[in-house]
Amino acid sequence: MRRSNLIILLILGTCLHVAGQGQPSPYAGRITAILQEMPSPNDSLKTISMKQMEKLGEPGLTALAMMTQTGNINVQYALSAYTGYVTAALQDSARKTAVKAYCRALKLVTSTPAKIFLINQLQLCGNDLAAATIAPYLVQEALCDAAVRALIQIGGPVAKPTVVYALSKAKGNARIALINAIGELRYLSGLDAVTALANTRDLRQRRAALMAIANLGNESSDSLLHAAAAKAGYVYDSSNATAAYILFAQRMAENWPQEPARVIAARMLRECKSHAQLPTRIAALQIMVNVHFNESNRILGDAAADPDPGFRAAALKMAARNMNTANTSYWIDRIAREKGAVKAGILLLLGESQQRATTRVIQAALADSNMVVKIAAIKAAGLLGNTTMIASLVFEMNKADSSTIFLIRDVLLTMRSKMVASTASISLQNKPPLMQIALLQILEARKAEESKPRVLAMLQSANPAVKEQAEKTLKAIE
Amino acid sequence: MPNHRREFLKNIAGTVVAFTILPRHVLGRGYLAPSDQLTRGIIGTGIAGRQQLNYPGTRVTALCDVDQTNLAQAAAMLDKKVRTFDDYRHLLLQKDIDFVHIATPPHWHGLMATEAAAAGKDIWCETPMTHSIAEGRQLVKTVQTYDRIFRLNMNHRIEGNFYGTNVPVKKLKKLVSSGILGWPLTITLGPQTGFSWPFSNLGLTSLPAQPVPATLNYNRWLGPAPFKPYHINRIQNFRGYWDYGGGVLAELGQQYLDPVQFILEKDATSPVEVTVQAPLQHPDAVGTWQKITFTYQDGCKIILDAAGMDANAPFMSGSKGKLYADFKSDLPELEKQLANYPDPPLAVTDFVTAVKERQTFVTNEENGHRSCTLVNMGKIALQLGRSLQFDPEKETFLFDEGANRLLNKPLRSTWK
Repeated sequence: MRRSNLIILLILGTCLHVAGQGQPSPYAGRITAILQEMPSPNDSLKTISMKQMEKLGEPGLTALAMMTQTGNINVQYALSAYTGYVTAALQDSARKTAVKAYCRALKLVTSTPAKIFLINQLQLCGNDLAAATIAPYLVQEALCDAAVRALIQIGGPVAKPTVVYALSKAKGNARIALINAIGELRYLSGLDAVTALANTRDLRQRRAALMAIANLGNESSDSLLHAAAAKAGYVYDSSNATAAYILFAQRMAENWPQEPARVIAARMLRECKSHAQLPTRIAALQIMVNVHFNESNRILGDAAADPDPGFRAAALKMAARNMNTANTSYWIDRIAREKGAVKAGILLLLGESQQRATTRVIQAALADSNMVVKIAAIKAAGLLGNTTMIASLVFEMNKADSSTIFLIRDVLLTMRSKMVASTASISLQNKPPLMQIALLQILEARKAEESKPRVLAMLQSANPAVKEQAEKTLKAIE
Repeated sequence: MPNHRREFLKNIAGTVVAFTILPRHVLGRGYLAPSDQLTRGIIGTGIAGRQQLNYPGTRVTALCDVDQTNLAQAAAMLDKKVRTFDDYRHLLLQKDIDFVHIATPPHWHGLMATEAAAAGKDIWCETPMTHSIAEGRQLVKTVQTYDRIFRLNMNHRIEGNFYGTNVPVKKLKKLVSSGILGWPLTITLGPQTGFSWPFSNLGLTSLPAQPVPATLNYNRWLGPAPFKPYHINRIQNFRGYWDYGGGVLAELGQQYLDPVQFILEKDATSPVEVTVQAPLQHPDAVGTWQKITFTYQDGCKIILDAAGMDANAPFMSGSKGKLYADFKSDLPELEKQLANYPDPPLAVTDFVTAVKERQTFVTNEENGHRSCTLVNMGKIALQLGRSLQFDPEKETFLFDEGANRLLNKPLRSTWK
């Protein structure tokens, strides 16, 4: 017998002796055999081991679970594999048996690591029975965290009231974990318990309580959370009250009717005007758009003309998520009233929408005297990908600076049409050198064989850079 | 007399200052005044946190680490004095920080990034993006709620060749979009296609408790992860433990998988199935694996072939053709055929531009979450040791409660 097997057998014998109160265990041999196969090197051997463990039944599994006290690695391999195994579909019976065994062992084992190991298994496979078994550990400092995490995952009618009850008994760090759990479990009956802690002097508990109250999303918490956020100045602070209020508004927006969420969002937009409050303004705008979907074009259109560029950009990103034919016409109308950076933002939105109806507006903007608008129009043309713009884009290269010329080149290369190469080819003659270089690079990338005579002509260019590029292009297309 | 001299100096001080404000061009081409630079706070000052200390257009103004030794070393690498913190929440309270660089172990990424977004900071985050699928979706929602700019630190969409292929991602994307290879496609990442999966991040299964070093706040290092007694291997080899990482899959997985999702045009979706071939995994320590296969709704597959099980696998294979490293293919004149097709759409690849112009960065929260979902799906399948079916819309597993209980890892909150 290998030395490791002998050690397993000795540990097993000791454990089963203790568990069985002196009686010889009928499982010792079978458990030893299972542990000898751990860790299984492949699926088929693992399946065999799992079937063997299933056959141990509740008492055998309890005996094995008791062995977690020994710290034996193979016990850890076997039990965690079995926990995973019983959580698969159609394993309900095996799962119930495993839970019973783990619960029984949890009461019997005395070491903290063993208890935590078993609670962790129940986190994955546990049910109401497990929740009831774990409950007493919620108020024990060393086990509270593991117990809370398990109950959050188990949920259900036993776990939820258990957490609220424990909060009244717990102290110190355990309270933070329990407050969080009430929020995570969305257990409305815990609202009073956490509300009572919302004004505590302990900052950590107050922070946790505000977030839990927000998570519960009950309309009655509005005044409390509003006051906390207003006190924080609607910016991030150590109480995290502003984030809690925004989360609360989001939770309210998930419910019907959504009017309370609209009221909160409107109030935040009214009360927040400074740049420091920009993230809050953006979050409020998002909520407003979600609950007022029919009015979203108007709301976002106005926001897109806001003096704060960050707010404008956020509004346009929100609009981009919901672009369709109907929305497009609103933004086409809107752009006629705008100029400068606002117009540029809307142009990109229209390009991204990929609606053909936007072609005319984008094409017109290519000739805009404002460079910000012109650049946006070039990018929008690329996003739209409409081939009718190819000639206009090439034309714009004539008067453009170097960075704009190469931006147009890159945009043209993203367009799917043979017209890109043919237009580049026929536009080569008598153009500024940088434009000729950019057009030759397009022909090079597209390996435009048919443009060879025109590229050959460029070899006669007096400009050495143009000549050099023509040689490269020729090499690529031949 | 001394008084007069002082007064004289005081009077001319303004004049001297006025003359010493130099015009920008005198300071050289490309010089960016400090007021035009983005200010940056780094959370986690280990190897990853120190890699981009001098990123152009930014300057570090604050550092945070729970390890005082790391913190002091990183601070010493900077020219000027920076503020230092041992609690990231104090760093987030600094109003003059434009963005945070999160370079901690992975179990912190989602939590810190979510809170940074709520604090109005833009975010530069190391991979893997989050530690669980639900945490990822929550982060996406928060980043979009506050409209923050999010960069997941991966470069293959931006520059260089894609690992063993010796081909840029842009060209591979163009090839896939062209349809020349047919559809659906299978992409294999294994030693035979130029990808090595170094299993150097394996955990130890037995870790006797050790005394915590005086310079480390271990409780805060663990943070949202379950409490386990200190052992130096947990810190130095955090990737080897499920509580903080996920081995080589979490370490390199997203770097490999993100470009592949992009190439396959799966940035807005996830696989419907994951299968694994691996030995049984320990509940604490991450072990090796041989093969993980992701399958999408349309039949496309990504195979992570760590053991090199298919020695003849091409990098990319479709119904009409195959592609190997160095752009070799069984199709004639592939380069020429491909030239007729358009390049992928332009994207914002400079983080400073993205922040200043409030534009979405190329590797952002949404596509980052989707590629990290592969990593997290793989981790769950390894931990449970079985194939899993996934709903990419609801982002839940089908008919598998065990897997669904691993979608969201409840966080330890007592560290707070």
